[in-house]
Amino acid sequence: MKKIISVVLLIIMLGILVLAQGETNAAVPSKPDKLVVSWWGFNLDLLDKNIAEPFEQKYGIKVEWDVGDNVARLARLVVRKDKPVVDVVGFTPTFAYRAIQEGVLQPYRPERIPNLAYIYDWAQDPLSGHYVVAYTVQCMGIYYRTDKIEPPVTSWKDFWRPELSGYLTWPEMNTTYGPALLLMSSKVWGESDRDLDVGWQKLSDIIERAPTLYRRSSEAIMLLQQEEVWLAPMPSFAWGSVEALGLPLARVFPEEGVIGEMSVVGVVNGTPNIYWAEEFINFLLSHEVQMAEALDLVDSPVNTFVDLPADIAAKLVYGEELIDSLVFFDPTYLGENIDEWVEKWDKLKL
Amino acid sequence: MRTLGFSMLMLVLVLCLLLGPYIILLAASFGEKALLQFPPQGFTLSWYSKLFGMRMFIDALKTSLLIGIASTLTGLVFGVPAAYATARFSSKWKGLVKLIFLSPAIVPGLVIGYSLLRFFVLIGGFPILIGLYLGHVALVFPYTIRVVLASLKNLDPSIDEAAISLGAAPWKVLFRVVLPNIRSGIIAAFILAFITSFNNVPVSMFLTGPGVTMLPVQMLSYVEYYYDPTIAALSTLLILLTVVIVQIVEKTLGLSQYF
Amino acid sequence: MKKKAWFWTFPALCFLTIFFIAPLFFIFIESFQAEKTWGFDNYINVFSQPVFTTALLRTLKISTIVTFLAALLAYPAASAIVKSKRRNLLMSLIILPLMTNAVARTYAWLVIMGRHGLINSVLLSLGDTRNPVQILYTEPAVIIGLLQLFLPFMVLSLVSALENMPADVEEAAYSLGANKLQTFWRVVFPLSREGLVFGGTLVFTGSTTAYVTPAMLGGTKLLMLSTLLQQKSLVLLQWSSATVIAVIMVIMVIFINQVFKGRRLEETS
Repeated sequence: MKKIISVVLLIIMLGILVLAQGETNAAVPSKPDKLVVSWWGFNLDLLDKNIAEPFEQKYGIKVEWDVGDNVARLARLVVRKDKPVVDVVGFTPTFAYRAIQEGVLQPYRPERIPNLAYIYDWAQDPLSGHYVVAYTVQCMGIYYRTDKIEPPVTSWKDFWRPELSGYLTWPEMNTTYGPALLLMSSKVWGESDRDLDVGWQKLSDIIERAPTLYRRSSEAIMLLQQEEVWLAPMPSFAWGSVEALGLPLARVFPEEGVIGEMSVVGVVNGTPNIYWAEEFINFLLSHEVQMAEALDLVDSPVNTFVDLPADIAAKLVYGEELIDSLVFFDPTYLGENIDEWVEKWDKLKL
Repeated sequence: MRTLGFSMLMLVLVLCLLLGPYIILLAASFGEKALLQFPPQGFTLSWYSKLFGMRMFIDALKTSLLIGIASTLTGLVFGVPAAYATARFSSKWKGLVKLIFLSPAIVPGLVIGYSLLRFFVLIGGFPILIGLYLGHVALVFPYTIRVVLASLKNLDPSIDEAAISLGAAPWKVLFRVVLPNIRSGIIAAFILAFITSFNNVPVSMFLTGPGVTMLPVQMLSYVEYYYDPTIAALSTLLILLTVVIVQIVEKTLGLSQYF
Repeated sequence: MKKKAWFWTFPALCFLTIFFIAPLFFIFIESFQAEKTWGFDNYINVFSQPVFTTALLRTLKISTIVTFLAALLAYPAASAIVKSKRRNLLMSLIILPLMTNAVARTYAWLVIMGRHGLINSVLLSLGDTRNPVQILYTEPAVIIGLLQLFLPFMVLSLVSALENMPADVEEAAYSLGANKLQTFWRVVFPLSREGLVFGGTLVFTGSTTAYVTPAMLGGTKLLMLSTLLQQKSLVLLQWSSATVIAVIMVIMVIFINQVFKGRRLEETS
C-alpha cells in the first residue's frame, strides 16, 4: 500500500512539475528575429561590442540599431505611431516626456525588470508611471582657468562675478542642461529652484556678459581651447576632452550641488515584442553591461553593485561623494515648460 | 590679356578663401593628441587608420555613396533631356517649369525631410532605402537640370538644327552633337548634385531607419560627443574620395564621344 | 516639336510632383490649421514675435551681402578657370572645401578669427593693434564663413554658363572699342545670366538656411531665421510654426530670384 501511495505521489509531483514547465514556457513568447532599438549613434562600435553582441549571444536575438539624435528619432517614432518599426527607445528625460505626451511610449511591467532593485532609487522611475528607466547618469560641473581667475571658483554664483564678464560661456536653453541651469540659477540666487523670476533675471545677465552661448559641448571646449573664455559649465562626458587640452583648467563641483542628469530607456507603444523589449531593458541594467560600458568610458553606471578601479572612476560620474551631491530637477516639470522657456530665452537675446 | 591678370588674381583669392581653412584642418588631422589642435603636436596617421576600423562610419559611407551615385545618375538621366527640352523650346509655361525644377534647392531641407517622412509613412510599403533614394533624387534635380540648362543656353542651336536637317534622330542629336559640347556643364552638374546628396543632413536624418545610416548624419552625432582629429581625418579622406569620383566621371564622359 | 519637348520634361516633372510637391503641399495645408481652427493663426503668431522680425531682417541682409560678394568674386574666377588649361584640376580644387564637415570647418575658422587666432596674431605682430580685434561673433564673421561655404556653387554655375560663350565675342567687343567694364556688362553678363541666376539663388538660399556656420561664427546671440527654423522643428517639434518660417524663406528666395531675372526685359526666354 505504502509503495502504491508513494508512486502515485511521485507521479502527481512529476505531473505538477511538467505542468509548471508548460506554464512558464507559455509565458515566454516566441523570439522575433530581431529587436530594433532606437539609440544615439555616436558610439555604434562600442554599443555593438558591449550590448548588441552579448544580448544576441545570450538570447539568440539580433539587435538592430536605429540611430540618430533625440529629435530625429522622436519625429520618426511619432510619424510611425500606428505601425512602429522600433521596439525599445533611449531618450534624454525631456524628450522622453514629449514621447509620453505623444503616446509613443508604453509602461513596462516592473516585475519584468528585476535589475531595478540594483540601481539608484532616483533612477528607477524618473518620469513616473513606469514609462522609463534611467540606465546611465551624467552631470554638469564647472571648469575654470586657475591662472586667470582669482580667487578660485567654488560656486555657481561665480559666473556672475563682474571681472569675468566677456570671459564666460553658458549652454543654450535648447540643450540638455539649459532648463536645469535656469532652475539652478533660481535656486542659488532666489528662494528655491522654482523662484523663476529671479532665475530669469540672472540668466539675462549671463546672456549679456557671455560672448557666445554654446549648443554642443565641443563648442565649449573649442572656446576654452582658443582661450576665448576662461569659465564654462561642462557636462561630464566632455571632461576627458577638457583635461586633454593641457591648459591650467580645474574642475569644480560647486557647493550648491552638481546638476544631475540621466539618459532613459523605455518600451515603444504598439510593439509586438514587449516581452523582449523589457528583457533588453533589464539587460541594460545588468552588472555585466553597466560594467563594460563604464570600463570603456562610455556611460557612468546606475547599477550600485558596479565596482570601478580608481583611474576609471575618476573619469566617470561615480563615487558616493559625487553621487550624493547630485541635484536632480524634476524632468516632468522641465518637459512641461521647455517650449515656453526657449521662446523666452530667445527674446532675451534681442 | 589685361582681363586675364585681374581674373587670375581673383581666382587665387578665391582659392585661398576656400582652401585656407581646410589646410588648417588637414594639419590638425595629423596631431597626436586626442584633441583638435592647430598647430598640431606630433605627427601620426593613427586617426586615419582608426577610421578604417570604425564600422559606424564605414557602413554609413557605403550607404551614402550608394544613394549619392544612384540619385545623381537618375537625376542626370531624367534631367539632361528635360534641360535640353527646356532650353530649346519656348512655351508660356517655361518660367514655371524652371521654377519647379529649382524648387528642391530653395525649400529648407528640414521641411523637405519631414514632409517626405510623413508622405512615405502615409503611403506605406516603401523600404527605407528606396524612400531615401527617392528623396535624394528630388534633391538633385535642381543641379542636374539647371546647371546643364545654363550650359546649353550658349550652345548655338543652329548646330542641332543642322544635324536634324541632315536627318539625325533627336536622340542621336542629343548624344552625338549636344552632349559632347556641354561636357563641362554635365561634369559641373554631376559634382554639385553628388555633393548635395552626399552631404545632405536634414533629409537623410528623417528618412533613415533601423540599420540604415548616412555618413554626414553620423559625423554630426560624433562631434556632439568627441572633439578629436578623427573628424578632420575623415574630411580629408572624403575629399580624396570625391576627387577620385570626379576623375572617374570625367573619364566616362570623355569616353562617351566614342560611342 | 513642342510635343517632344513635353515628352522629355515629363518624367522629371512627374517625379517632382509626386515626390516633392505633393508631400510639401500636405504640410503647407497643415500650417493653416491651428488647434481646431483654420486660418492664418499660425502665421500671425510667428509674425508677431519680435524675435522673428529681427531674425528675418538680419537673414535678409546677410544673405544679400553674401550673394553679392559671391557674384563679385566668382565671375572673374570662373572666367579664369574657363580660359585655363587646367580647368578640371581647378574645378576639383574649388569643390574640396564642400566635403569637410561643418563643425570641423568652423573649428578652422575659430583658429583663424579667434581672439588668439591667426589674424589677430598677424595684426598684433605688425603692431597694428594693442588689443585683439573682435572678429568672431560679429556679422562679418558670418558673412565670411557663408561666403567660403557657398562660393563653389556660384563658381561652378558660372563656369558652365561661360564655357559655351563664343570665344571671340570678347575680342570682337574690344576691337570695337569697348573697355573691360563695358565688355563685361554688355556682353559677358547677359550671356551668362542663366548661370548667375541659378548660382545666385543657390547662394542666397544656402545663406538663408545654413545653420551651423552662422550659429558658431556669429555666436548664438545673432538670431537668424535658420536658428528659429531649427528650433521650431528640431527642439520644439512645432511643425506648423516651422512650416510658416519655411514658407517665408521660400517666398524670400523666389522674390530675389525673380528680381534677378526681371531685369531681362529685352531677352526672350
